[in-house]
Amino acid sequence: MTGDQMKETAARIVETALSEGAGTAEVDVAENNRFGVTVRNGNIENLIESGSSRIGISVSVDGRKSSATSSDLSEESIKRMIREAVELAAFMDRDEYFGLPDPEELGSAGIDLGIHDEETCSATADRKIGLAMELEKMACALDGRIISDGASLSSGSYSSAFANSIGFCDWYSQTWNSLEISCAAADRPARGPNTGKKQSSYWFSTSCRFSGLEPIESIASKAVERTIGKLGAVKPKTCEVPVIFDETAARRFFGSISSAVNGGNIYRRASFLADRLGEKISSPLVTLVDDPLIQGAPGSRPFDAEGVRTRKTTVVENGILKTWLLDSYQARKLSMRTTGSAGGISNFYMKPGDSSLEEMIAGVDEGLLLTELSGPGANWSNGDFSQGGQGIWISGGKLAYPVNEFTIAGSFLQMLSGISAVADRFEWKGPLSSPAFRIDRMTISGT
Amino acid sequence: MSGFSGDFGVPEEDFRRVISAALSRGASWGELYFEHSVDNRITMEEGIVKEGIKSISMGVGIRAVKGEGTGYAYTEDLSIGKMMQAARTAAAIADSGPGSGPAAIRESRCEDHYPVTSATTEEPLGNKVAWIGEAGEAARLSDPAITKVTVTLADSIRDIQIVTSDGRLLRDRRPMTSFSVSVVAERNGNRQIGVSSGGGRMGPEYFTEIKTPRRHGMEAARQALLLLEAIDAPAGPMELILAPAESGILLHESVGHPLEADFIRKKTSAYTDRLGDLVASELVTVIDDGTVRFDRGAINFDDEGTISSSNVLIEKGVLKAYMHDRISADFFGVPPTGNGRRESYKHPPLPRMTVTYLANGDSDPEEILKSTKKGIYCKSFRGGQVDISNGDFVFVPIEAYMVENGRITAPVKNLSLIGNGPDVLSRVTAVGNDFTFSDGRWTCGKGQQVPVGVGLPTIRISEITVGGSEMR
Repeated sequence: MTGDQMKETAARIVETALSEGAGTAEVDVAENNRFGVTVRNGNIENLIESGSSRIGISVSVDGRKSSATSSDLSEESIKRMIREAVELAAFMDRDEYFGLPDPEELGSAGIDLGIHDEETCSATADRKIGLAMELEKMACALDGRIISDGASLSSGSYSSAFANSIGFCDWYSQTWNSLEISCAAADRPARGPNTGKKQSSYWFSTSCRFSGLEPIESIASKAVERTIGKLGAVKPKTCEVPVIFDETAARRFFGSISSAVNGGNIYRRASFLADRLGEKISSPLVTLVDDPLIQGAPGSRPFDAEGVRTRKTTVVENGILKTWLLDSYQARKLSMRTTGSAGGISNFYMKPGDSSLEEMIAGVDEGLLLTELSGPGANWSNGDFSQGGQGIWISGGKLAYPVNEFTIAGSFLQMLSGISAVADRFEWKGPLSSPAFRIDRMTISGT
Repeated sequence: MSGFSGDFGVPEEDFRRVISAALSRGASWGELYFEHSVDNRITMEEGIVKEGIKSISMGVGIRAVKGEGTGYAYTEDLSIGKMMQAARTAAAIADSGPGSGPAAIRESRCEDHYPVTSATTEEPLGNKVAWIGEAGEAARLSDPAITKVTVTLADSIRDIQIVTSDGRLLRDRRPMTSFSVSVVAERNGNRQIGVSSGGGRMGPEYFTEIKTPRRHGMEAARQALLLLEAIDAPAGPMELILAPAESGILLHESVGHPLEADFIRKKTSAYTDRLGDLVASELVTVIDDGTVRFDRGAINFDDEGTISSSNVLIEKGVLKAYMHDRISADFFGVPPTGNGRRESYKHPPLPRMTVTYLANGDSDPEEILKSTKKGIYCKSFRGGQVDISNGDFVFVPIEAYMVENGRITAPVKNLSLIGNGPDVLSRVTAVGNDFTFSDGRWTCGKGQQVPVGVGLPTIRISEITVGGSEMR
């Protein structure tokens, strides 16, 4: 469907919902087109190409709310879906905080965000397959020990029209591209029964624009370096040392923080930050921003999932917790105003500092460069943190040897307060990105 | 009502045409995976039933396979024109002359491992709201320290129809009930979360035969209150005792994933080329079984039409078999094991676990505890993650205690356990005789989400790294 057709459809379904007895209605019509290829050892291993559509309807009857989604866009199915939603609403309790957003909040940012790229749609399958083939070939050529776990290119477009019963109706479209390679290499454990031990890693690039992807030479060399760099990894001693989170580990850490500042988790009291608005929660080096209006960034959008105009929000400024990320329901629950964050974070990042990664490493006598975190042990509800890790040991200010099979633990508040350096750059890797940073002291559990 | 008869309204003639199109460029295997799913979710928060959501989706995924290559396309429009277009897209994985489609299609039947009389999806809304209310009330009334309670009832029915290029048609109706209570307990600035969840491929009898909503509510509250008293966990290597049932997550992560044969075929798993090797203590027998009745991870046949079975992966410590989909089975020249699973029609199948468990042993669980001087005892888990290539896995307990001189003492919090699959399984020093399946609450993510089951008797591991924050 064209944008206008999608808008018309959304507006028409709103009308139908009102005529079927809904007091308020919100309708989202979405279309996805997706292409994906994975090549391994020079052959295509997976090729996927498809399009799909979906509509979502939320209705309320006398403050009672229900929703329905369906992949069937036929008139008859939509009518049935609306009737069922209205019927379901009757079984819900009345929620005095429920309502559509304030009309003056509704609207579109009104600027071209540069998130739709024609080339992503027009580039041929052969060109995309060729890029993945080249990437794999290049990685394997860099080091004979590399076992390819596949190079993939996925790309696609997403368009969404949103309409509600107080007059909002708009549409946007965005494209995405992701290029990735995963590698493994045989390792030899010093002892023990794990004679088949290998090491693996990956690197990827993502962009709204097909031409915005990182050059394949750079993706290949980072993936190979991260894989080969893990060979011979040992388990470190149990100790307390400074830890540098590289960008990959930093993204995972701030992913938890983005959940802890989500308005839903605040009113549910399921966040360690719940009572700390206006307080110093972190080292002054930390400024966290959610900005949906960055040109060409992966999470940019002109309006949020309930039609509220998007805007930049500074969540933490120089260590002070300034606000939550809120949709209009959460805002009402907390007596605040929406931040245009319905649907989740947009481009959430930590503002770069003024150290280079090399300087941060040089400043550590004995410590750890953390390159991967694993497991569900980051508990942003109570503030506890204990996760599995992999990385490179730092000795005398230099990268010394790889380490694995250890955990790092502490509490989020201690960790945030202990951030003593922030790197001066980062790359966009999806809606959540962060520069590397250093925490002065954490517990490492190993041998 | 699910509002779906189980029939996708596609004539047999169309099945044959579409499969022939999928094989038209020389693919050796193809299948059509039709799926209609209805998902319902009702949530209660802060004492009110806040939102009901119903989702319906229907589509067909069409796959063409040649060697290790897969071509895949899907469509939500089941007209012959759209299906032919998708089939031609999938066919492009191969590039030789046309293969032959099936001459005739026959319906295959198999045993039903989840014969429910009625699905929760068909239950009157009033009953669902009442169960949710009972759980919420039980949690709230447990203690004044309980400040928030969230109760969710999710149910689904998935109608599946698979037509294969070897001329079989299989139909399945997969019910699911999932119930979850999550509470926040707060005291003097200390905030803890307690969760109790369960379910299975069952109807409303789950609430009478397995666990009542009330018990879920009380259990979530008990756990949160316990955690208010917990001390920070120590750091360093320690002895570990795992309680029955949920601890099966250890197997799922430590050997389950690395024995999925796509990683073996690609030679990226630590267990590649290790069939016949001793990879665990002789006390360890590990089974993956899609036929466990009413279990969340059960399937009558997998998502490429292989009938489910029980497969011994590790027998008395010796690696016996990997978990295969059709592609890896063909690659190794063995029969598929019924592990080809997918999240929905939008995804091609991959080797995945069903219900993975460690077989019963003969030790008395009391004795296992009594003979442990110092260690950690774990009862329930948040989940885990594994690095397939080096075998390192993490799993995160929710309810755990110190063990001192053969007795369970203080509850501990904030810990991950990290180990290496082959190392840890060779350190299993006792296996209890109290085997139990976990209540159905696990979803496994490997790019695609699928429901799985786990189970385990009490076991002891002589050493694992406990990742707490306290240096002792």
